[in-house]
Amino acid sequence: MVNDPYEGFNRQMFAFNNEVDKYALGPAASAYETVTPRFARDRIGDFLQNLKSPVIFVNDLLQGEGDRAGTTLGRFMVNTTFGIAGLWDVAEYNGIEGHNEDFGQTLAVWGVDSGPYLVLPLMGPTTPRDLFGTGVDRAMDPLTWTEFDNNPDLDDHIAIGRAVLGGLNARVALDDQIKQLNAQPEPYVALRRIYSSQRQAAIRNGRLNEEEAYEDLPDFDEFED
Amino acid sequence: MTHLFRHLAVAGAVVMMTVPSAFADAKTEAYVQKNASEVLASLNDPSLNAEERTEKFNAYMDEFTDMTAVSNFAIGKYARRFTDDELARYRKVFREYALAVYENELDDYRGEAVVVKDSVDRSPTDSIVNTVIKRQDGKDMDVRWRVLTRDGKYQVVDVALNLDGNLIWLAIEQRAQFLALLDRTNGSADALIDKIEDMKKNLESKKRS
Repeated sequence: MVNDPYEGFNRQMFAFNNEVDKYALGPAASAYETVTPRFARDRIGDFLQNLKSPVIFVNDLLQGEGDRAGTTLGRFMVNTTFGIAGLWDVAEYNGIEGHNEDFGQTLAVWGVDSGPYLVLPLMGPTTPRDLFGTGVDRAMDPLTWTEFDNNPDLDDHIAIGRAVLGGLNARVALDDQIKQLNAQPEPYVALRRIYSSQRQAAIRNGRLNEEEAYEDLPDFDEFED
Repeated sequence: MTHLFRHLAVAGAVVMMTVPSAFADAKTEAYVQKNASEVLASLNDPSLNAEERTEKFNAYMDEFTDMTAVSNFAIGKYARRFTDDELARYRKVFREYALAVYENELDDYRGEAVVVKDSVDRSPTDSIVNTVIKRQDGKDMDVRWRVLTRDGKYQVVDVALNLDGNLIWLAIEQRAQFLALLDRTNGSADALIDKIEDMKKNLESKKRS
């Protein structure tokens, strides 16, 4: 069961985000998809994912996952060089699969409770722990602190470009799932459950605890006479 | 997270199959392997057109499925609160929706064999059978079947997909949403029936030709 004491507020934000998606983000992503070939979007996706590597690497270390940190570092080196500044995920092509980490997950590994479920305008589902983690991740990101001597605004332009391209790329990739979510009987409840269970799975690094996997299953005849 | 919400949409449609009783785990596993593989095979007959395929699939599923019990599970306590007429209308549309969802969902696995890995007993009458099914796109899917033994018969009552360590029990997810919708609408059977009708039409429009 997801802890959702602010459901009234969250539902309003969910509805607001849906409107933004329907009238702004969705059409913008659709236009973006029309004017960019799949090849270009894949390169942009690989490039942006490679930029996340330093943050993922630090979180791997903070979680005591030495092997995964090594994988992240290896991928970053291979992709930044042979993958031409990260435009190609050469490492994955060679069987070195990537993964994501963030400081929200690190806090969870350290035993910090998530706090209540929240839906924020434009940002979508989160929790206080994940929201704080997002801020720390940003602070850890070398690009946040990079300044260019001859062009003081360039770092801001890069940050905005990265956010806009990342948003559009992600929206195109998620198009099918967003349609399926909206076709659910209760999209709000579906997203809340999925967000929560996916975060739990991500915190476990995709490993299922087989010992406890079936403990919470409800009795099938619970409501029958 | 690929196909996640399509997987979720399967939910309420839960296969319930019946065969003569036995308590040995090996038999529960064999039961899942045989029946699940046969259902997948029914989707893979190239001599059938879309309509014939659906007819064959539905007949096959009907033979092994107790939709009444499944539909009750999906609405929980409301099964006792709906009037007889509401319950009848709900069960009819639920059955049509569930069959459409299942055909759509299982199509990715058509013609593939279900390989049993192992099983876990929650109690003498409640087991989970873990299987692997290769999808049409070549990926292995970790699929788990909850099998109850009741009145000397096996019944598969829920199916879970392991998506990157996230175990999604389809009927449980569907029930969470149905109950939320009913709670929000003061238990309106019509609101739920209309919603399922919409979802069914949406699914039918996407069917493979």
